[in-house]
Amino acid sequence: MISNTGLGNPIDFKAFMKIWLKVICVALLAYVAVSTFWYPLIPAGLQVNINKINPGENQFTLTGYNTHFVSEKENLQVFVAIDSTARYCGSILNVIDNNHVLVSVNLPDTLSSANIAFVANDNTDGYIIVEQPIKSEGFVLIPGYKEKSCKISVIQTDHKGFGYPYQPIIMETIRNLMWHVPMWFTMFVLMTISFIQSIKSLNSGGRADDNLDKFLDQKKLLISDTKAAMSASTGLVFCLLGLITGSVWARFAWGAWWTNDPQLNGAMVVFIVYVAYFILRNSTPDLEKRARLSSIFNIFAFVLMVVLLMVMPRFTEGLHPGKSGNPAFSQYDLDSSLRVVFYPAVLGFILLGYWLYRINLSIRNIEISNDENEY
Amino acid sequence: MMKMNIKQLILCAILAISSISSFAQSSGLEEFFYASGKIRVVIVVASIVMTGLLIYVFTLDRRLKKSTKKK
Amino acid sequence: MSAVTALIKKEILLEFRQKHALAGVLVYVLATVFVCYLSFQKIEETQIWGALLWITGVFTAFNAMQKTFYSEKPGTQFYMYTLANPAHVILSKLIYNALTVAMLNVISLFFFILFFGTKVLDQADVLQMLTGILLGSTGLGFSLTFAGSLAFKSGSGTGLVAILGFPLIIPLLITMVRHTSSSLTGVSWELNGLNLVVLFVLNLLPLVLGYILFPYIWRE
Repeated sequence: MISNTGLGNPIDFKAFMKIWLKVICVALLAYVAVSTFWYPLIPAGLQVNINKINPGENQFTLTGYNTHFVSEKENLQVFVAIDSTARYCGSILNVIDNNHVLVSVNLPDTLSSANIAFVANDNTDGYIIVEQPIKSEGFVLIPGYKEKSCKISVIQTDHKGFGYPYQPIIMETIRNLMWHVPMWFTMFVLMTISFIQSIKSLNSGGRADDNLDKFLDQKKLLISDTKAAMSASTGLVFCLLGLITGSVWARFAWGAWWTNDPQLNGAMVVFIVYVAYFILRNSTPDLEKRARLSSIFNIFAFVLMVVLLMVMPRFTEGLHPGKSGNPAFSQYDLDSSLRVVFYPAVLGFILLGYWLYRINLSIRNIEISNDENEY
Repeated sequence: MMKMNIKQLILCAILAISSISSFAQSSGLEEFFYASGKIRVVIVVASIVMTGLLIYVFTLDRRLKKSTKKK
Repeated sequence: MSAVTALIKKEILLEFRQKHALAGVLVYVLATVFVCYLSFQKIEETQIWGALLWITGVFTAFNAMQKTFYSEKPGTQFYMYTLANPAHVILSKLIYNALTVAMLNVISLFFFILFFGTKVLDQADVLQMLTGILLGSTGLGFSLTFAGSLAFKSGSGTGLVAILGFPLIIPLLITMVRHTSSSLTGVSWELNGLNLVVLFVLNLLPLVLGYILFPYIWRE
């Protein structure tokens, strides 16, 4: 598409767009690289150092993550919440540091339930809740008993500042969302390109019962076939990166390199299937036959990939986030603070993947023309 | 020649991945990663992605040099 | 449809004329079960039994596929395609191979029972297990025929069937082994039903795709 600017110089629109897409890709990836490390996690409660409570005085140390207990000393309130309804205020004995506070709380003999949470509240951190299994000894539990909640001056419900959500066990590694998941999105996009090119090459090749002219539209067949192969090869790189990052993340966040999860197994199968695709290509010396056979295999591989990665995980249980519903995301992943960085990451990596595919394709075309010139 | 490179790359990847399993028993490595709220895991993952892509770009570059040298 | 049945009948006839091909596979099955018997004498655990059954089953399927594809003379293929619609040809091949593998697996199941008795099946839901084995075997047949037809056309030796076929059957393997081991412990149909649905889908995939796509390559 050539468009004429007012200055009288025709500008190649396609080239113009390509440069801008590259710029956008680099900008997005730079933004992602900076944002994943820049923002802290939102303040959250880690643990308390006791495992049982009794009627009367209880002393405990509440540990928070990314909290600001020292700077908020005047506004800090800590209390014990029963069933999220009743509150027993504690008196702060000592603010040890920004993340630790020593508190004493007086509990009566009767409670309405043993559903106990420890809560800290201040202006910067908002609601800090620690819900850990606590034994209650010596209490009389009467469901529906109305406790006398203590009066609290001001409750600040929201934390100040932007941050990523806190999840126990996962903690800081939630930032990996911006690096691991886009690998799979990119692979999927590239494999879709490969699939479409395979269909195109079969169409140019023609069904065997078409007339001979259409059957021998060789040039289009080979062009589409090369495109299919190069996008699959770039997609394979992203698949490998996804597998490696997923494995490393799993090992150091949850303790196991691999689990018997349908999505993980499916990803491994997809990798192996596309490797087999390239082995098939290598084993077929005749160019036209190679194009046809590998296109058919590619179509099967793509359908298998869609079934394994998108259909099966919706129906089966597993450890990987997002079962019985959306296979990619679970509830916390869609947190708005993550979305701000996640969507640009996906877009940036997809653009990068497409860029790498085009480079790969150009190099392959040079290699092909070299081979042709040799004869 | 390009075909050799892809096969070698994939074989290396598989060997590398399987050699990581030898780390399963070392707790020192775990302590290293679990410190500071596991932020180091993120650093490792991000650097894996970036180095992986850079390695890929280098292989592309090598192929390009080889194919333009042939002329 | 009648063309397909005619083609299947032709395949069966050919098979009976060359009895040694099928007999060879059966001897292979017998040999495997016999070796298992010599090693284990008695099998009490359902998991081992299921594993051995499927090991035999998968390699029998590979074996049978090799024989089907590489025992054909090149001229007859082309002649066949001038007579019949290539889609019908591949459909008949797919169905015939699936039935062959299913039959072979049932026979191997029979051999297993012969050598190891039915003690392992005490707790099992036999009907469920049989359904799983049948669906799994036909799936193996369909997938390996699909992969085999591609490998055969590329003209590059017998190893390629296995290389192409193995990734395609991995999900099938995972599901059918899971189904068999569950049915051997007597799990109900509702709980295990999902596995059967998955097996059915994995059966349809190569069948439908082979039928649609094969006409593009038969001419070579």
